[in-house]
Amino acid sequence: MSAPNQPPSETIQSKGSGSRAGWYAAVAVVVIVIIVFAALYAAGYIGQKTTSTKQSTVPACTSFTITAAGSTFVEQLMAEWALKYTVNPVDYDPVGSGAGISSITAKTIAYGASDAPLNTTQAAGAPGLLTMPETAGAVAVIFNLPGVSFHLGDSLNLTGQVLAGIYNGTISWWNNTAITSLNPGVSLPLVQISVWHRSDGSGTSYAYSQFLSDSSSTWKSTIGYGTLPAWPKTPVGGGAKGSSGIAGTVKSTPDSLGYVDLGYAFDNQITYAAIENPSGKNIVPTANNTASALADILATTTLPAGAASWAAVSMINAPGAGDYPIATFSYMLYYQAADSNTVVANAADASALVNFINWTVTTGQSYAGQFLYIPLPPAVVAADQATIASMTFDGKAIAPCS
Amino acid sequence: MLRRSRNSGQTFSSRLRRIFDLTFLSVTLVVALGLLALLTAFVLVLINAAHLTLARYGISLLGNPRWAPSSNHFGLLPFVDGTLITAAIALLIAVPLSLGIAIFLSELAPRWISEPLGYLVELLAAVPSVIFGLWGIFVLVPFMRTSIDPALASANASVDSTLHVSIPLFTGPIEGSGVFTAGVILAIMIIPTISAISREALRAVPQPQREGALGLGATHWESTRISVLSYARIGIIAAIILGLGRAVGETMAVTMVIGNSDFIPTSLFSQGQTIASLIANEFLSTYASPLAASAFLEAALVLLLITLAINIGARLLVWRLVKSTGGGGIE
Repeated sequence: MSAPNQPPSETIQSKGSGSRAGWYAAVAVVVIVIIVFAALYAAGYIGQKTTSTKQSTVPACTSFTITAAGSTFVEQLMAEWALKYTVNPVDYDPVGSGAGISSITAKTIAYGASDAPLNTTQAAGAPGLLTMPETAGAVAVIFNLPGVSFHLGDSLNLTGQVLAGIYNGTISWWNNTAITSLNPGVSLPLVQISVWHRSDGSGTSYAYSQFLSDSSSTWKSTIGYGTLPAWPKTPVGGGAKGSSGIAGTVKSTPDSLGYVDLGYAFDNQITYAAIENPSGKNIVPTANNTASALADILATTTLPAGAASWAAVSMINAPGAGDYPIATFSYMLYYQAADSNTVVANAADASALVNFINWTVTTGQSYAGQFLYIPLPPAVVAADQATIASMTFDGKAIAPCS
Repeated sequence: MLRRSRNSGQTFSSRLRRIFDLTFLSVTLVVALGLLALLTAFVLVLINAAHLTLARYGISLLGNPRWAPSSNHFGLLPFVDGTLITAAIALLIAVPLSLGIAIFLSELAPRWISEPLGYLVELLAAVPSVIFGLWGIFVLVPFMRTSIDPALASANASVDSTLHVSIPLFTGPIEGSGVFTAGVILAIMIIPTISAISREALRAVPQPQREGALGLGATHWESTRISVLSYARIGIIAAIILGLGRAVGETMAVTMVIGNSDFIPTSLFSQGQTIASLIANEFLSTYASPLAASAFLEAALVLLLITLAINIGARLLVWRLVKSTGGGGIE
């Protein structure tokens, strides 16, 4: 304001000073109230769950949002479950199995989903975490070879040994004799293979690298397996984030190769390879030959209890002659003592969570087939239900709500 | 005096106002200091979280070329490399183009073109990076693979054969995704930022500057170069630094087109990884050892320090320029 304006502005000021002081007062009061509430919240006086309201007999399901995160392998099934389950809202974030394990360890979600079982270090970091298979499925080796045609019902034939060679960079051309000898009558191009792996921590990578380890002693001794193995350098290719990242990259990149869950490959119409199983048969993955792999594995394995380690459970290289060799369980991870998870605020929330998990292993299984996941056999469902029944809230069994 | 005699309640009211003013001052002061505390907290938390590897390897990780947390290799060189290369490519492409846009908009274009075009440029600067990333995957990567990359590769080959050297820039298998494509997408992302701010700097140049140069017989280009560009260069440098900051820290778009390979790129067509894309890819991954998690956070610390260094460097440069030219920039 310049000097000549001074007198009028002063009169305005004196006229409006009462209302302006009121304005300042209002702002100050709001600020102070916010600060006080923030301080009270931080000090734990308000907003926190109060232990006195914890009760274990709550019949009605609350509007608790069941938050979950993890595997992109089961993304399609989780999305379908969230859609079909109407009692409580379910919010599933497909961030990768590795992220699922760290989120449930940090107790920022109600349950985690991972296709890889917890290793010793991870289990030690999350005491009381239960492991429960919620579905199973095949890992498809997808490829994009424009102009290469196969006989009807046939696909590109690959073995674990050759895939290990491709992924560690020793086999880098499509017309390498190691590949052409498996595919008589197919003219493979003289181009380098663009090799893609998951760049984030992934249960699909876990199952796939476990298959490579199982098939190649070189891979086993140099790389091994895990959710984020030390992928060797290949002349062409790199990493992509999530199943969608791999599927998108392989679909849009000529001469590329990658791996995703079968349903993803099928839905996105990406061609996938036939993989040689331990009986020497080339198997194109289907829901049927993955289900038979699961049945054959279950015939020879005793599944551990929910609270025990699942690290030894593997669906790789199932023994049956018609079994597809790269498959995996996908696990739900949640706390046995539901009250130890800060996300589950009270017994009603715990009931809602238990109801949902129960639903996924019973009614929920009927939605698995359409995405080429394998519905769990009755024996596994029974074991799962025993795991669910072992959950507690404040030391008491959790009553189901309705 | 007059007011007080007219209304005795004013004294109380004005004292109250002073108290509120004081409260307001202290609240804003706390908020402002909070920002400083936040930055300090960032650095401290990162140092604390990375202390395992900092104590064990120090900054030697920056020179180690192998990143494989599952087998205890924690080299950050590939990512530092990728970050610097992509940012350099982005600046090389974006700076001349942005300056051209800015000069055209402020010096050459008639008002009816420069106004709407200027708004469009500013609008582009506000497009979220994930949109650029999606466009990168669906449009830019295939376009690079089929058109730009082969042309660059053959140019590189012909230069090699005529000069009898081997320049490892545009060589190797052409994939579409890779370090060069990431640089290109970063360039596209920072062009609006740099040109919008440079345009403001050019428009702030006083009209007599131009008229003086023209009056002395300079051509339009000479007037722009001598009296406008040199006058506005501090603003232009600030614009470039802001663009560089965005390029170094950009995550989503880069992750979507760079190929995410944890190795030092052997040519500009190779897949690579920047520190930001490494963090985007692995931020929630569970590492087998606490040492690996610590190395990962050391990468984040390095990124924070690189951006801080860029900003401090820019500050120093601007200060030096202001000092040597007395603020105006007229030579």
